[in-house]
Amino acid sequence: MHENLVTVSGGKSGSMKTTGTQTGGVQPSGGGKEHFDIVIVGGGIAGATVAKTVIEQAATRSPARHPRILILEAGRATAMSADKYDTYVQSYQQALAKVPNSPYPPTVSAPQPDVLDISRPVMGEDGTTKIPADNGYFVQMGPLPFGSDYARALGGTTLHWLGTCLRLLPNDFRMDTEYGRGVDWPITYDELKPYYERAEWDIIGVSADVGHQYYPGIGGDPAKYFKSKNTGKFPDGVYHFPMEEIPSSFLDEYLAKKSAGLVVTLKGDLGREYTFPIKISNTPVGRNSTPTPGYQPVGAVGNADQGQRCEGNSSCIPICPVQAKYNALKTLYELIVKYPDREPREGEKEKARVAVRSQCMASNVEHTQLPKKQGTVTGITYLKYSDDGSPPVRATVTADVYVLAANAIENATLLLASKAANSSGEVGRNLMDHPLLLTWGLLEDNAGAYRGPGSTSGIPAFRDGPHRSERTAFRVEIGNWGWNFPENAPYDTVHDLVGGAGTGTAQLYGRALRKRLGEILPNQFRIAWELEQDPEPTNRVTIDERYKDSLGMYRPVIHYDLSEYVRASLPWAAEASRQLFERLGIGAEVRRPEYKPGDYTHWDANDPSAVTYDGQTYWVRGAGHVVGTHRMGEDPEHSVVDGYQRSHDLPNLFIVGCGSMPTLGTSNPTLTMTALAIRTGDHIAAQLPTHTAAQPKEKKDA
Amino acid sequence: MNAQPTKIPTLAGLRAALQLAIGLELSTIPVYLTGLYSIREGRNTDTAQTIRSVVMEEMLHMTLAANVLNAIGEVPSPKPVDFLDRKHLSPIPAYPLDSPLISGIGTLELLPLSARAVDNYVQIEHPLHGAATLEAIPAAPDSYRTIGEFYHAIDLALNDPQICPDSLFEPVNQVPDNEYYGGAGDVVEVCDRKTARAAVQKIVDQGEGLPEEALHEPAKKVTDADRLASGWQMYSHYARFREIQTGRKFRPDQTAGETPAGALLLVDYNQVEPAEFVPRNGDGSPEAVALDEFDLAYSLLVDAVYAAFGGGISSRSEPPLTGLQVAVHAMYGLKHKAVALMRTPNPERPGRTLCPRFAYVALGGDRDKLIRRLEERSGSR
Repeated sequence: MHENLVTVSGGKSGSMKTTGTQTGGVQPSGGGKEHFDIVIVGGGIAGATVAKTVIEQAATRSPARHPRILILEAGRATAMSADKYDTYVQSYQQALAKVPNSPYPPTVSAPQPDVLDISRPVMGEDGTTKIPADNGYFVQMGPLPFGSDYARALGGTTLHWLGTCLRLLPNDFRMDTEYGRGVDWPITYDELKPYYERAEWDIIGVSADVGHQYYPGIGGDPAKYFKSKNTGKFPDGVYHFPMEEIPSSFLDEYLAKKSAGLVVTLKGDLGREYTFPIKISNTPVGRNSTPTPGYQPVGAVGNADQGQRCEGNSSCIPICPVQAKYNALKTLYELIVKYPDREPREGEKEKARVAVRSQCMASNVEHTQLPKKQGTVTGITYLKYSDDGSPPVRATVTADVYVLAANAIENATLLLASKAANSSGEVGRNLMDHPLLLTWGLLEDNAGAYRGPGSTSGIPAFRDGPHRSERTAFRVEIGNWGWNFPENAPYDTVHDLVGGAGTGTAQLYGRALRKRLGEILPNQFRIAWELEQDPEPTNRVTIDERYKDSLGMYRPVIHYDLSEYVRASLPWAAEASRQLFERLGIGAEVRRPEYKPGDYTHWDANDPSAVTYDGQTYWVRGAGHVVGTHRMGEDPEHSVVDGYQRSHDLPNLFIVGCGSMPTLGTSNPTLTMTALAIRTGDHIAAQLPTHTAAQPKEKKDA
Repeated sequence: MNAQPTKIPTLAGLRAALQLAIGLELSTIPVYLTGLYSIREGRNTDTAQTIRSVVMEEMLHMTLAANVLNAIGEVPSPKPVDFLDRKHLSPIPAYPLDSPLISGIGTLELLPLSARAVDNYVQIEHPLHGAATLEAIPAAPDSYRTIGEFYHAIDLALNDPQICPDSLFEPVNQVPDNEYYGGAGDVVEVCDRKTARAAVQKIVDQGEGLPEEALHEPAKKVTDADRLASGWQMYSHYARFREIQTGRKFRPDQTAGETPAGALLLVDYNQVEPAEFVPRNGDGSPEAVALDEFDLAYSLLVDAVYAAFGGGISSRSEPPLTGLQVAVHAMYGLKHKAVALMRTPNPERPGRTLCPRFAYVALGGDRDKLIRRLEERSGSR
């Protein structure tokens, strides 16, 4: 209805009718723009967490403060009701390749990276990029392709995360001090601990047993590592998770039994030997389980009865069909139900207001910053698109506080495009992931593969220790879904058994095929060795006039490689795997299409993810952990945000998300991101000016 | 109300009533499940969600009745009971079911989702089962006109210290709240008279759909009940089924007695498997065997649920699974079997598919015979 209207000056356009007619007492600030207390860019877990935390904390201030918040989401809001979420499930069921983004249809207006697009740029002899790989959303400059993706839809990448909720280890916060690698964080584990607790209880809902967390670097006592200062909630500080652990899979128990007492020995530089006692550890996850007293699991959006417990649908990535796994839609839904964006009805108490606008692509952070000086953000300009291809409507909104929470890569491109918050020159730099090495084998026994969540346990032994000064730490994730990741099983296993590619005559079919599959598939298992990547300024997201999307937004241009520090751990992970497989009785090398117990790990040189180190080829996949790009630190010269994720350059701007993490550790980053977002939310709530959005703006405290 | 509901004068009568109450809650579940499982995958999602949520609350009610019964010293059992002057009433339903206890509820049939099926759901959940007044429902001796009357009689007996002295109540075999999967409503663990009555109160229909004068309290808006910490709202069963029946949602300011006047709620009755109930015939055909297999699975599930109510624990796993956790596996198994049946054509009825019978086969001779028959069949296949 407003296809011809490309630019509007304020909030009265048809596209914003819903709020335009309801703004009530809200006074437009200069230029007739809509004004909010807080504008958040990005409707994922970080933005939702900041919004919820600010609202709840500001309400406890005296006098109470009830902010009006706008959340701008670039993608669509398809799944905001239970039946619409089911359309995602159907897309997943119909997809031929069940990759992480397969349930979430792309839009050309807000394109998203996809792991199917990963290909390798062509590099010149001199190490420069000859032909970038730009067939997907990313422009890969190499030398390695960045192997991870994210989702651009309301709810963000929590739609297809696995749900792993590991806290960082204490030494992860002080890598420079402890190991002379990377940088230290401006905060410590003990400082972040209370926010971890709130992330586990108030936002995500984590299932785990403290006593089963056998991490290195915590002094051998999980109870001490988890000990809480919140003695009101946890008497004597004895911490427990809101829900009981998701039971370890049969495979986990099988591996634990077989590997009991195993000590992996690895040789380091100068012949130094490191030993790692192997202990299988049940992994904390954001997946509903039996609640402890007083905790109510949060079910599916708009369908609270569904998803009250994990049902073992075994498709956590890319989609939990019942939403037993946390996704940010749950928090967003709570916000819009509890805090609708309207004037209080008669007899209603005043409360906060949250507006979520999807299909709104933030295009510019308006600001007054001059080079090397502090400034102020004066607005967020965004493009509202309705149908792909029709011209979007441009609008600018203002706020007292601005929050970018759009994913590490999107935060970086938006800041670079806006020439904002980057006097350090660090925006976009230090891009990190968990480079992931897969090893896989066929066990002698039926270990029940393809059942339950993607992973229920890991081997934490390599996550910390003196080896970190010479090579990177890694986490070991035990996969419950057979060879689904490395060999596209069970489909490729079926192909192998049916065979006939050469002769046109099937080898196995019918009952015999089913029987043989029943002998092979449950014995398949794989391990992911997830390496900590260190921050490197040359691993970076940049923008380039030549690469823009259909709305004219910059596509991420990515330079990416693995440092010597990371690469040195590849042979270690491979050797640790060899020792473990040996112990499991499957040390012999075997290859498909033959099926007998053995080690099927193979890394051929022709794969886009191939990495060569010391004459040996490895496949290094992405883990979907997109981190770095606006690192936090105390020094504005070398960091983008401070410990509260506040921009050094633009004090009314908070840049939140995994992008703020100075180093990555070996934990999947979502839990840490959530804890940081809560800390930021507390900070914003305390600093929020005392006037309401309806009153004239006061001079802000800097 | 002129006629007083049949009084329950003794503890034995109260215990029998609660045995029958567990069966009454159980009896609605197959009716709803047949409708739910008949919906084709991915279709009629709103309707499927509604029916599913009601089923979960019926299971909650069943559990609450079991907790009350356990607390007054009797273990729930599927065996027939004598209630007042009536002998040998089976708590376990057989379909089509004319309730031995509630005269107003009508015949419970197992139907795939259809307009008629939804009419039945509305009748079940309406406080007067569709009648204009209580008096319009014919009464029978030692029975009740409505579910509400029945639970009212149970509540009166629970509140009578002559029947239930304080010392009677003990928290035996209580199913704890954390074993119930629903998002709305909690299991009440019963330890005394107060909690017993709270559990019964939770089961009783809250009166949606009745005229205000029959409620003795102001009619509630459909969304008044703000039951969840997250702010999510749940309608009554009656209101939810009315929405399906009328093809429209309620507006938030309406009461459940009104006709829904909100957004359209599309129900496509063609996206349903054409399942048709056929009584047991035991002819040995593959279809009959499949139906028998379902009955056995259902019977084992019912046994597992009753075992859970009897405090059963399976020690086969580590940590041991409690009773209801064991039953959960059987519940999922049942769903898959039901869906498979409903996709299987019935050769005797062209255009129709098989429909699970939800026939409980009692332990003992009949169960043994069924198992033997199925074993012979699987041996010959």
